[in-house]
Amino acid sequence: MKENPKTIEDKLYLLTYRSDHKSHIQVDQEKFKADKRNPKPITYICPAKVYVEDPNTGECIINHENCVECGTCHVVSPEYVTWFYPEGGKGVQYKLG
Amino acid sequence: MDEEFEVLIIGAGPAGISAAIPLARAGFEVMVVERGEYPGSKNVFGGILFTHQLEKLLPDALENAPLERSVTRRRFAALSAENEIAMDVKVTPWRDKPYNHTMTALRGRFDRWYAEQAEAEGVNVIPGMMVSELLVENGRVVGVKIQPGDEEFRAKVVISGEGAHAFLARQAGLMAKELPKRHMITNVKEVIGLPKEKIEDRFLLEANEGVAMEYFGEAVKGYFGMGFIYSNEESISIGIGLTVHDLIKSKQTLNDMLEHFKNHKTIRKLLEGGEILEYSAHMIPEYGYNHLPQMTMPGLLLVGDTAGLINGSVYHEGTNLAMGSGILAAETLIEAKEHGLDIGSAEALAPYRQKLEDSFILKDMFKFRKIPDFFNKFPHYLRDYPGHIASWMEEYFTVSETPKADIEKGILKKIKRDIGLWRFAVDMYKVGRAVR
Repeated sequence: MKENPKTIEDKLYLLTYRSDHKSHIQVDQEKFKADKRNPKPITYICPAKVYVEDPNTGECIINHENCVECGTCHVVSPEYVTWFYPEGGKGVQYKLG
Repeated sequence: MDEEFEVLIIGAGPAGISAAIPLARAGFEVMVVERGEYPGSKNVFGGILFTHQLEKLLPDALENAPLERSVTRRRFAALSAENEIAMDVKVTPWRDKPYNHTMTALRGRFDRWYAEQAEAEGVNVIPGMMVSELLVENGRVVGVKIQPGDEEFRAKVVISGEGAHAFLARQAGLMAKELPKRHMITNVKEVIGLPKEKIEDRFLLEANEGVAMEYFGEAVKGYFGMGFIYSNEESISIGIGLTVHDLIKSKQTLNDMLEHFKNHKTIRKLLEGGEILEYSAHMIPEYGYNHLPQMTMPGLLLVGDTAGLINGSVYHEGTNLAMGSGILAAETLIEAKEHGLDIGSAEALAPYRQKLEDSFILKDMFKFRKIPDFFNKFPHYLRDYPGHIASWMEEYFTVSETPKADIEKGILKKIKRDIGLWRFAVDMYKVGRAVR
C-alpha cells in the first residue's frame, strides 16, 4: 500500500484541474508588502498554498492553478486579494466532494 | 442575445435544482447555469444530506439517488490532548425507510444525479457557464453576464443559488460588501477509502448504516469550529472547519490542523489502512438569523448558502434548508404567475421572506439565532471546556484506593482551580440560555 500524502502539495496531486490560463486571482502587491503581520495570513490560511511570499522581493507569488476554490483568501484579506471564480468549466473538478 | 428567459437560475446545486423542478412542473421555462464542467464538480459539504425536502420533490429519491448510508448513529465528542468524552446516540429504527431522512452523501455524485432529474422534467441545465455579474436596470435585475464569452442572458427573474460567496448578492447590495470573518467557516476535508466491512466493524454499523461524528475542543485546537467524520459506503469523510477569524488567529494551516486531528490517539485507529481519495476545501456562511441578507430585490431571489440559510446548531443542517428555500422560491413565482403578476416585480417576490419565516428554515434559524454570536463573544467555551471536562472525567474514573468521596472533592477543587465555581455556574446558565 502506498503512503498517504500528508502535505498540501502532495494532497493537491489527488485533484483534477482544467487549467485556466488567465488567473482568476489578483493581489495588490504594494498593499501586500505593506501588510506587516508576520506571517501574512493569506500565506497560511489558503488550503492549497496559492500564496507564497517571495523572500527576495517581498512580493506575493500566486500559484492560481493550485486553487481549490474555497475563497477563504478574499474573506481574509479583501483589502489586497481579488478572488473570483475561474471561467466557466475551468479550475478544480471535484469527483467526490 | 435578445431572447428573454422566464426564470434563470444561477448554480446547479441543491437550492437551484430544487427551485427548478417545481417551476418546470408548473410550466415555467427554466434555465440553470452552472460554472462547473458538470453539476457537483465545485460542490463540497461535510457529508450529511437531510432528505425530507428532496423526498417532497422526488418521492422515490431514497431508492434512486446516489446516497451513501443511512445515519443511525450520531455522536458528539469533546477531545482533550489525550482523552475523549462523547455522547453517542444510536437509533436502530433509523436503519429502515425513510431512514430518519438522514443520509451521508458525496456531492460530486449526488448533485450530478439531482441535476439530471431536473433535466428529465424539462429544465435546461447548462454547465460550464459562470455568471460574472448581474445586469441591473432601474433597480431591477434583468439578467446576467456569462463567462466565457461576455454573453448576456436576460430573464424575467433570476434566482441566485450561487453558493457561499454570494458575489452577486453583494454586487446587488443585498448584503454587506465584505463577508464577515467571524461567520464564514472554512472547512477542509478528505475522503478516505476503506472497505465496507472495515467501516461497519470500526463504527459498529450494520450494512448500509452510517455514522455522523462531530468533535470539539482539541479536534480544532480549541478554536471556534469542529472536526467531523461521516461514513460513506466505501469511504469516510473526515474534516475540520474553523471561522476565518480564528483561522487567522491560529497562524497555522488547516492542513496541519487536519493532520493533527487525524493523528489524535482516539482518531487514528479509525482511519488505519485507508487511502486518501480526495482533498477538498469549502466555506460555510454561518451568519445566523440575526445577520441574514435581504432575500429579494426586483428581479432577484436568493436561495441556499447565498441567502445564508444554515442551521449551525448541533444539527448542522444546510442542504435541506437550501432545498427548502428553492422550493419556496419556486412557490413564490408560481403563485405570482397565478395571480397574473409580473413575476419579477417587488410585489410578486415579497411573500418569499414570509414563506421562509413560516417554514422550518427560519423557524429553526430563529431558535438558534444567538449561537454564532455567542461562541464568538465567549471563545473560552470551545477553547477550555472540552479539555477540562475530559480531564475531570479522567479523574472521576481513575481507579485507586482513594475513597470516591475524596475523588469527588478533588474534582470540585479542580473545577475551582480551572474555572471557579461561580464562573462555572454562570457559564452553564449562559450557554443554556444561548442554545435554548
